[in-house]
Amino acid sequence: MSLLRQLIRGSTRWSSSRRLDIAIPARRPFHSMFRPHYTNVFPGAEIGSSRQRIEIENPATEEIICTVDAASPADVNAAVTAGMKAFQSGIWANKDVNHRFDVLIKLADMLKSRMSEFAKYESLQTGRPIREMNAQLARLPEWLTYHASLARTHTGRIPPFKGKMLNTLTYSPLGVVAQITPWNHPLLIAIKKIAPALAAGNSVVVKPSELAPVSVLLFAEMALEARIPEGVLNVVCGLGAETGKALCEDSRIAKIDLTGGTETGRAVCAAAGKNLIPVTAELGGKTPVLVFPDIEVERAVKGALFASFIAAGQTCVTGSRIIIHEDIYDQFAASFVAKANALRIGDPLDTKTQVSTVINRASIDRCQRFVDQALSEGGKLLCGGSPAPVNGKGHFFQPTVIEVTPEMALANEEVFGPVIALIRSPSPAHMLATANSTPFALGAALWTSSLSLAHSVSQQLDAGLVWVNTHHNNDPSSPWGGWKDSGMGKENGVEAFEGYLKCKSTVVNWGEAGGVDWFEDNKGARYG
Amino acid sequence: MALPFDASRGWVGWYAWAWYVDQLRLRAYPASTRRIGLARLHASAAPPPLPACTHPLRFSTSTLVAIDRPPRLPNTGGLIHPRLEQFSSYKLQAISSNHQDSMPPSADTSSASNILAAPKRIETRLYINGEFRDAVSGKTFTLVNPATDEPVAQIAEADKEDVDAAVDAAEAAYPAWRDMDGHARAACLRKLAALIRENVDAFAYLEAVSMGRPVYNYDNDCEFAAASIEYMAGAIHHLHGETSLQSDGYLNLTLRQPFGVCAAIIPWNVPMIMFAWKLGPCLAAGNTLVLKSSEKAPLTSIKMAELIHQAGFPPGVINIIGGFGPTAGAAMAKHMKVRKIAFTGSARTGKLIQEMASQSNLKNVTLELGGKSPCVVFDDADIDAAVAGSQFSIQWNSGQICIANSRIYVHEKIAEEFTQKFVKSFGSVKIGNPLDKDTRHGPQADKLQLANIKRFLEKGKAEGGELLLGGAQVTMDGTEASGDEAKGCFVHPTVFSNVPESATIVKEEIFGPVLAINTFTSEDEVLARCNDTEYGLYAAVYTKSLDRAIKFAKGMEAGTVGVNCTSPSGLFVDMPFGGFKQSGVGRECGMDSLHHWSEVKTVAIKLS
Repeated sequence: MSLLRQLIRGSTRWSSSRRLDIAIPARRPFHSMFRPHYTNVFPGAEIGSSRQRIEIENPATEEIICTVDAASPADVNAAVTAGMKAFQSGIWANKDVNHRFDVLIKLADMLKSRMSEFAKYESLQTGRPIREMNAQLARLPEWLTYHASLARTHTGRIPPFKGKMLNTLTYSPLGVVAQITPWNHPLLIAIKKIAPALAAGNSVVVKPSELAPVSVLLFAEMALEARIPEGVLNVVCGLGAETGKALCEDSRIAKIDLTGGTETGRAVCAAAGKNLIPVTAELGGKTPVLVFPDIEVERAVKGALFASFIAAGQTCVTGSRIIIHEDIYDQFAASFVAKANALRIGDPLDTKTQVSTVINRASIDRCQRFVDQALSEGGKLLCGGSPAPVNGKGHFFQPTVIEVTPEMALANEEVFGPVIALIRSPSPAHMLATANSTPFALGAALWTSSLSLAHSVSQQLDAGLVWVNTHHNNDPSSPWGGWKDSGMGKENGVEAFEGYLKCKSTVVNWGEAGGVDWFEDNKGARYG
Repeated sequence: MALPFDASRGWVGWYAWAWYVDQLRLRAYPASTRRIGLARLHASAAPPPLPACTHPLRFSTSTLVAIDRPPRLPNTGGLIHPRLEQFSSYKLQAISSNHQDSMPPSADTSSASNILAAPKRIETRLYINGEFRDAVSGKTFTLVNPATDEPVAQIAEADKEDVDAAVDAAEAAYPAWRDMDGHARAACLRKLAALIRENVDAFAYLEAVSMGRPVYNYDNDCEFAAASIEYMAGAIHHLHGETSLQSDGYLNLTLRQPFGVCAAIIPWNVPMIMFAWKLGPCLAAGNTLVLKSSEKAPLTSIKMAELIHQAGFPPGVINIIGGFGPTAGAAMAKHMKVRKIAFTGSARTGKLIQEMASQSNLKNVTLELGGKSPCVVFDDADIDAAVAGSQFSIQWNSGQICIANSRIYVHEKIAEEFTQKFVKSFGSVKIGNPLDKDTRHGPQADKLQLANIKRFLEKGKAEGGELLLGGAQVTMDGTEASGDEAKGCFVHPTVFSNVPESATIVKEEIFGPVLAINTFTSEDEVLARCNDTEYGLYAAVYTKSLDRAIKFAKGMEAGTVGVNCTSPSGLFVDMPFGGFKQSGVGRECGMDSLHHWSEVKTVAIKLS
């Protein structure tokens, strides 16, 4: 069972998952583009004789495509040591920013040239349609160039300090930072975190999800080719309970940046609390999509359909509850259901496929449980509701739409799958209250043609991200992150970059001699 | 209440301007004062019935959104910091007995209680180095009330020698002011803001008899001026330099430092606001100032000098002079010790000032110049809101506002309804004595302005526009004036429609209550017409379409764009204001303004 899924349900912390204690994969990899086995990437350090391996499954065929090393606590220790060594040597942290800029731009170019290859890796290990991965990955080089550019242009400040004092605020990298990334957008989220951390001069130890680590491992290998020095970017694969825990509890780590479930977030923050280090956490969500009656209904339907079923509903900002004003509810629901029914399920590598698998068997079970519970609570099934294997194989689940009321479980809990709640709402005030009624506060979308309404509703939504007449658009320059149970801190933008720096305030006295002469009964002496 | 959609930004901005504009509108047309204007075509035609509300939103956003009106902050009273004691030798000097009192104009001695009373005493001299004094030459000029053509006062007329004296005083005061603790400088500014609020009636009277501004809403000008100065008092603590560790072996810094002695030349149309926009950032950044008021409206600036005196600014930090552009103004622009000059006025004068600045010492120049601001009204707009907003924009201050929307482009589908309502509303404004609290429409500033506008009116009639309203000089009671000997400088609100785009009244700034209403059908075409001008100060669009609103906000070539509001909405103390193209250089208000009033120094510290 997926670690993430278990943790979201709150049943387990640091849970263990599928792990083999033998070195030989049970079956031959199906796709020849994969190596049979991938080792962790932390060059320059001693690799422990890891005997534990994790099997990577293709969710569309249920075949094992390769294995990866599960890093032991000793391996994690070695990776952090490698990071420390590189950081202390100054080979990256103290290098001229122009050098960091050049290397990151080179890395961006290399990524660009291998894009279709990476997209295929992503599709095969996650089951997500190749069309989605091609489109998503095409933008990833922008994250590297954006943060490389920030490294060149970022400045500190000189506050207007009282008196004859010169106060400089200067920034420096934190040290070795830990990054824990998920399986739903393996490379996107890894690069979102790696780019600002490296641009700011840190050393990084990334632990990708054990369900889809291959593209991140390959990216780290490529980074070495781009002349990121050894020890600066390390990847350790493994389970959260062992590898992730060891990494987060290492006292040498200066910051943890996590994307994952809310319960994982709590466990990670507890570990960070022990070491008193900052955390950026991008956790769960129950993104509301508010459809106001002044919008052209078809436009909102198309937008909501994308919001709900992209990545088979497995994103932290999946439009998983669509709150519709009653004036247009029937029209919206009819059109939305018709379109959801028509979505094409199939082979992820087929460019015509529109809806992918979910990540694994456990996820299928979870979707089914939510459907059953919603129906038992009185929800009305409008379409879907069952697994839909293709040729008897694959973790496919039908795009599912259920009409619910705001108090039902499906309207409040994160499914992380293609099971969408429709909520009929009598008034804008009710729409807003419903949207704000969960513990989550990550994304929200609203559809309206009124600019005043858009602005005022946006201001009142409990959400770190609000889209108006669109969904899930992002940009390396635009801060991304939630509040409440959805996390803290920001990815992207200057906020993310400064999150990987520490601020030093230096106060230089250049003319207030009396201020220091306190004990000479100097009446004018300054204190403060 | 209709709010501009960006009103939630900063309480100061919200309070000082959104409230301002709403108040102005509310008070502009009390039903009891409506009268029939010179509407020739539509005044007697019954307006079409109001369309049923077609807005698909059946709910009111106000039920959903409770925008808290921020409380007005308590006045701090402007405590003077102990550090100011270094100026303790400086005492508030009693205004000497030989000051030049002026008699209130005889026309205003009416017994009606609606007439604002004159202040007991009107100061008319220059304020240099902390004292009021006559011009070196002893010259004065006569200020004439444009409502009555009667003389108001003899104003001391500064020339080059006075400018020199003022600059010397500012130069002497500069080091101590520059080095004074920011908290102490802020306290002076806050005290000045408080004093402005206490003297609203005096300011209103002085402006009314100088350039004819109706007194009914002058408290709003004073409030905006005070809020602008208070904002800058706060901004003192947020003027940062930068640090960079990007270059190996160096600690690099930037420091934001004052220019030194600065000059400002303000216009006559909204002197209080212009005064505050120059004085606030200039002093907050640590400069000292020589400010010249306009010869058409010198009295409020001299009143400000009295308050500056009371507020405890050290002598020489602010010097106020009255006089004319070609003499005193030119002396400031050419002065070798003045390091920066800020000017608000016409594009023609702005260019002269830039020329003089470059020919003398290449002083830094910021300019806020004219406009020919378009207002686009789409067929999905709230027509009544658009009529009220755009009508007030061109009517307020008798159209003597650089951001006034003087070109309206209305969608063909609603053109007739819009135009009828506009003409009815614009034509019913109450013309009268500016000192009368019921008056909503005063005279133009002086005979020169009047003659200028009359020339435009003739051109408008000759070049093919259809005259729907006004089009002529009127008397104080609103009846058509005959002959050039008519008293006062009143122009009736004037509307032309279907004016060729090449016509003078569509191309050039009129600075009067005169506008052109043209129609359009295509979105892209009207955007191109809006931008087909050398000006770029303000532009407005009324539409309910969110997509179109943002497209126009980005597409209009103007320093400020109003969406579902038009000027004077959209000006806030914390948001930069200024022009694209020939409407100006630089920005006023907000932190941008403070950057324009300070130099940047890079300090490279080599670490050995």
